[in-house]
Amino acid sequence: MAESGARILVADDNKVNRLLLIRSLEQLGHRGAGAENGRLALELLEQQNFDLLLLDIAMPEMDGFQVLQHLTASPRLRDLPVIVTSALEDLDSVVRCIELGADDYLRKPVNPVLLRARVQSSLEKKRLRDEQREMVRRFATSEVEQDLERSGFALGGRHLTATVMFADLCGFTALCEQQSADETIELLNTYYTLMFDAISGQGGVINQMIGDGLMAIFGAPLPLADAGSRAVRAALEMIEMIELLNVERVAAGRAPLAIGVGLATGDVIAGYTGTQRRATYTCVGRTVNLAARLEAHTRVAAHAILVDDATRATLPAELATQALGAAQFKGIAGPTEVHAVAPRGAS
Amino acid sequence: MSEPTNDPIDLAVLEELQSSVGREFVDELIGTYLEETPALMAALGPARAAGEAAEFKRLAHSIKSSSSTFGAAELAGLARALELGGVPADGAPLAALDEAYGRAAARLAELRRG
Repeated sequence: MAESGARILVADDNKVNRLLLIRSLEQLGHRGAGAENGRLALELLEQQNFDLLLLDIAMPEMDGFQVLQHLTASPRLRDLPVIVTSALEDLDSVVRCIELGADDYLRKPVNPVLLRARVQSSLEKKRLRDEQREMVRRFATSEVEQDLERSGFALGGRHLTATVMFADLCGFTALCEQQSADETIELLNTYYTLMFDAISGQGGVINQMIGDGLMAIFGAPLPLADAGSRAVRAALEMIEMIELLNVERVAAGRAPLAIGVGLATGDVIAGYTGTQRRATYTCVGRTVNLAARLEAHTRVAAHAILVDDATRATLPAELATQALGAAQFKGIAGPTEVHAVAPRGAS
Repeated sequence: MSEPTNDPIDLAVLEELQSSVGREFVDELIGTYLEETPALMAALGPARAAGEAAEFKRLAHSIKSSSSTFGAAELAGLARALELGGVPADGAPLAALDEAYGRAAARLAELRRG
C-alpha cells in the first residue's frame, strides 16, 4: 500500500462524478469504490478498510460535514485521510472542512494531474502516520497505547512528576569497530529486547532510542505509583540481563558488555511534540537533563546505576544506595548529590 | 444568453475528458448523465414550490457539477446561478434551465454516437 494500489472510497451523490472519480483513480493504479451519500460511505468505512476517502460536501441524507464529524469521533476512522471534492466555490465550506479534519481539497471537475498529486500526498501522509503509530505501539505499554488512542495523539503538554531513565552501552562505538555490521545490529536487537522487557515489566515507557542509548519514563504519560523504586528495579534487572548476556558472550569468545543507567525524579513537561502528522511522545525539562548527566557520570563514578536525591528519597530500605557526594553537572545549577544503587546480592 | 449557433458543449473540455479517461468511458458516462440528470431537473420544480431552499441548492449544485464535467457551459452556468441565487420567485429560470438541458443533452447524445 504505497502510492499505488491503495483502496479509495468515493462519496458523491452525483453518479457521473462518482463514476468519473473512480475511473480516474483506477487509471492511477488504485482500487476505487463508491457511495452515493454520507451515511452509506460511513457504513462502508466501518465494514471495510480504506486508505483514503474522497468526499463530496453537498449530499443527501448525510453531507460531507457530518461525515467528517463522525470520522473525528471514531477511534478507528479518525486518521483516515480525507480529500474533499466539491464544486462549491464557497471558500467558507473548504475552510470548515479543513477545520473538521479534511487533509486536502480538490475542486470539481477534478483535474487528473491535481488528483494524482493530492492522492499521492495524502497516501504518503497516511503511511508516515501509520509508521509513527506503529513506533509508538512498539515503544509503549498497552495502557499508554489506549491513552494515545483516546486522546487521538492530542498535541499539548502538561507538567508531571516522573522518573526519567537514560541508559547506554559503555564502549559501544569501539565494539562496533571490532565486529561486523550484522553482528552489531543483532547485538542491538538483543540489547533492546532485554532492556524493553525490563523497563516495560516495571511500567516504564521507552520513548527514545538513539544508537545504543535509550530514554525511558516512569510515571508518564500515565501516573505510576512508586515510579522511583520501579525505575530502580528496572535498572537492576537491566544490569542482571546484561550479566546473563555476558555469560553467553564470553563463552563465545566475545567481549563482555557493560551499561550505565542514570535516574532522576522530578517535574517534567510531557506531551506529544511534532505536528499532527508526525508526533512523538517526549519529556523535557531539568529532570530529563539531570538523568542524562547521571548516566554519563556512571563512567566517571565507576558505578552502573546512579540516581539523584529525589529518586533515592522514594526508595524502600531493600534498595540500598551509597552516597557518592556532590557533583557539578553541565547545564544543572548548583551541586547535585549523587547516589549509587548497590547491585542486588551485593552488600 | 448564448447565440443559437453556439455549441452548447465546449468541445475542448469534452476532448480533454476523453483523452484523460478514454473515449469509450466518456460515452458510457454521457449515458449515465442522460439517465440521471432528468430526475434532478424534475425535482427542482417541487423543491421550489415547497420552498425547500437547501434541497433546491443541492439539486442545482449537482446539475452544475456533472454538466461542467462535459463542458456544458451554458447549462452549468444557469445551474450555478440557481445554486447561488436561492429559490427563484417564479418558474422562468427553471424553464430556461430545461431548455439549456435539452440542447446540451441532444448535443451530447450526438457527440456520443459520432
